Amino acid sequence: MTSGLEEEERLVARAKEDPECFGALYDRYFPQIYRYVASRVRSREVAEDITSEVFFKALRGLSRYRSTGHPFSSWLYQIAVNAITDHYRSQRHPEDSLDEVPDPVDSAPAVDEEVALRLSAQEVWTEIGELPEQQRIAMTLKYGEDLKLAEIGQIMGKSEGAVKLLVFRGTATLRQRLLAGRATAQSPEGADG
Amino acid sequence: MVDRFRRRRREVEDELAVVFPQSEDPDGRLLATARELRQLLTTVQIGEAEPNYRAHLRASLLAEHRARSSAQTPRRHRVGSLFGVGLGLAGLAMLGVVLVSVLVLPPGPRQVVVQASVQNNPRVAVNQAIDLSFNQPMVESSVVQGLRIQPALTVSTAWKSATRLSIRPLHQLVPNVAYEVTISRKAARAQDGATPLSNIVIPFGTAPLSATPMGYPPSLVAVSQVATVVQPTALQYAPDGQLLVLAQSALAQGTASPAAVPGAAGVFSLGSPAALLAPGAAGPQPSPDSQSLAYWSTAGSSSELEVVPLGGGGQPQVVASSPDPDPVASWVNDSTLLYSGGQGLLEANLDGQVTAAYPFVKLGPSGFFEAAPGLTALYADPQGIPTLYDLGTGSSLRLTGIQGVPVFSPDGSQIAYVALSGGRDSVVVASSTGAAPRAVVVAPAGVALSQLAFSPGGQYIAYVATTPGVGSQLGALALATGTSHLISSLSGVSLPAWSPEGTAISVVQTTGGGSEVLTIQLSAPPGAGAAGAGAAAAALDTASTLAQLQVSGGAGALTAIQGLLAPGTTIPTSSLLPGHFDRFYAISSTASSSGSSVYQVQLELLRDPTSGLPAVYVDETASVSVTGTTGELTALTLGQPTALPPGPMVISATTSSTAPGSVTFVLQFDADLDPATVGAQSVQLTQSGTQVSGVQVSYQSSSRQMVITATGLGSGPLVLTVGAPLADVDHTLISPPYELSLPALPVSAPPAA
Repeated sequence: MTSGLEEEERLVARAKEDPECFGALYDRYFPQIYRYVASRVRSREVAEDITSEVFFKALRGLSRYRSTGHPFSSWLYQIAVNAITDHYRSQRHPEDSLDEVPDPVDSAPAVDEEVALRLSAQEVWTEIGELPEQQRIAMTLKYGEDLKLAEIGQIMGKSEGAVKLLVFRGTATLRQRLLAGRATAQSPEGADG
Repeated sequence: MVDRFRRRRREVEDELAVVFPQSEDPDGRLLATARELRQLLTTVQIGEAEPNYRAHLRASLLAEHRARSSAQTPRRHRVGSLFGVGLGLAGLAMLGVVLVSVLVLPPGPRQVVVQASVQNNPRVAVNQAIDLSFNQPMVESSVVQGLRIQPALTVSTAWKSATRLSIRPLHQLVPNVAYEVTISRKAARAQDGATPLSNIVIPFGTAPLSATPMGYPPSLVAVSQVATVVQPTALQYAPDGQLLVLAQSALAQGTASPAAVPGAAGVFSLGSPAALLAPGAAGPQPSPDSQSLAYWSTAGSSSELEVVPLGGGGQPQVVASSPDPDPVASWVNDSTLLYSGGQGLLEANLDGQVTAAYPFVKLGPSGFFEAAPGLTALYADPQGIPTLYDLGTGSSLRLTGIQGVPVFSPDGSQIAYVALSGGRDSVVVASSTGAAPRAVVVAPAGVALSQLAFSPGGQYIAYVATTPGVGSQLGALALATGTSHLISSLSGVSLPAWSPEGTAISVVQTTGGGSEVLTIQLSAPPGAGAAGAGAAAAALDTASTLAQLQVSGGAGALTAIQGLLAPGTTIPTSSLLPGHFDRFYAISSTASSSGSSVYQVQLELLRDPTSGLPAVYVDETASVSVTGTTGELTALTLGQPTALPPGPMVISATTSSTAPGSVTFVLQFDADLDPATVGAQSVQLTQSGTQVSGVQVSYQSSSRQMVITATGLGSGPLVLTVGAPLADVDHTLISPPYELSLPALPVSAPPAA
């Protein structure tokens, strides 16, 4: 009996020579890569452009690919993360630097924990989009793609410890902002008019 | 697999405790938030990718993979004959691309790859734009310059971004046609100099029409001048065919003395000469039996509803009066009128008895309304609000976006109106109670639509399209398919009125020199119109069934084809190639000889192009014996599979005769023709081997129809040939020439729409 990772490594090795095997890899990973890209950009057209770019880059770089003990998808995510970053940079959106953002202070308002349970995915994604780039990538891969720290580290080229810190900081900042926003929306001063 | 998935989920879940240890998250709030986030964001639904996009990307990736492998490893190249490897092998198509790529391309930088909205879709809507998406910024002018579409189309192009090109045909695509968009490899140049592996080839097709005879609106055959009129405001046919005009004067063609109403309007019957039926009249309405004409006559501060004999000669009879400033009357039956009577709707019979009607209907201050035939529904605008009343239930519906006045279909089941949406006019058709509205056609930006008129059969709607700088022109649309075209290039036209048989549309044309009433004779749909047309249509149906079975194939196809054969007829089934084609054209149906019940039906079977393989066609002639409305196959002749030539092609040909010694051919082309090449120089008509002179040829670019008319003909067999220098807009000549043989003139009868 072989593990899933071993089976995948054999498939990747064959895909370097055999187009049909590459097609099998594409079939296996297209949904999650497209889903990931589509969750990070605003339009289907851009999502398609970037997803195409990811798989063409993967095809062209496949001969240089070496397994590192992580799923093949980690490599695809790595390409996708870079492609998304390139996309936003080409749009000239201001990118925050991790170093320029102060650490969150644990002074969140004492709002009932239940409030946090009423979060909507849309507002969470919006807030994640406001995080510094490195935190944003780590948070997206952690919560949106359900990846392990090691896999995220592989994708981002960082150690597990560094990823853990990014996720910790990102989660704390996100919690603070969401609860603050909710408290503002609930207070009379925060209401329109 | 499920266990593995669950195990992984648990591992990721457990890992959160590592990220948020109690030492750094003493109250566990961050861990709780993290778990909520994970739950929320991993279950959120992201839209699925377009299946076409996903499939195309896969194919493109594999093609590039193969090309790269081929570039590294010498391969055997083989070239098969057109049918040698078998039809319908999509994989072969892809191999073709690869082989071409290997021969043409040196290994380059990042290749250009394109996705198309229509790629490999055999059922694209005729009004759909062709959107191309490149994988990198392109040199826009180069791409557009290298763009070619076959069959040829006149298109406009717009770049939405440096990677996205939208191609919009000037006129709708032709139904049931296989198209191919190509961009030469050199022209498809990216801004960084990259090119594709080979020429970009995007095959696609359009859906066939569901009801071929009614798929296209009729076309212009001839225009005749009927009368010169002054200040015309209404034009309509009485059910018996009398053409009525509301104007100040009317001078019938070929007559010397105009009929006139000095200083006022009157209703004239445009016979020869024109006859004044009712002076000082407004709102004329001929009765259903064509015996009476109702109209409004001003009497002091009110209006009187008067009725005169439509044949002329009688004294006006006052049946009712109305204080409304612009009252309307509509015949309920041959002896009763519904009219606006100040407070609401009233009914009056020819004896002058008046009763209230439909009290729930609220009229606007002018008293205007439009009633559906059969009084199923009624349109009015109380307080300026366009409202549709269901006269059966009393319910009402507010119509939104409506421009002008709606019209009801002759059977009263449908309402049509012009609506403005997104800055463009469209013709909207709904049930007469307003249910299920649908935009049948949308006008180009800046073009205003108005004056809708249903054909008597209800299949078509004529309209006036007003284009800045061009003026108002007559158009028509087919309800079944939404295809539409301008019927003529005449401008300044208004007040379209269908003849009762649907064979002509009369209009008023107003120019600087005054107003004329013109009658436009219309073409017949395939197989309809002339005597014997029922048999021709039956033959066309039988042959179309045969061709459809050849296209669809399947286990039962050959058995079903056997069922079409006349007793004693045998056809070698090996020649039928069922399942090897994608579409067919039933081009023409003509009697084998004068008076014969056997018809020759021209068919063409086509296999669509795929990437790397051209479209292929096979000519087929079916002999069909018709008894009553039933046709049976008596013989079948198949040609050789041939690569489809690049020039324009005739995909439908109809013949009709509107007068003894005359014939009209309407040829439907699959491509936009170069108008400079359309004319007598590209058309030859012979009768009994002698060339016919004085042949009239016209071309309507919006419908891609050529109309050929000849008069003064004898009784011998006719042969029509259309050939070079006829060319499409890409200057590709028609080849081979199109030829149609008629053993005799079609029986003279008015064409029917």
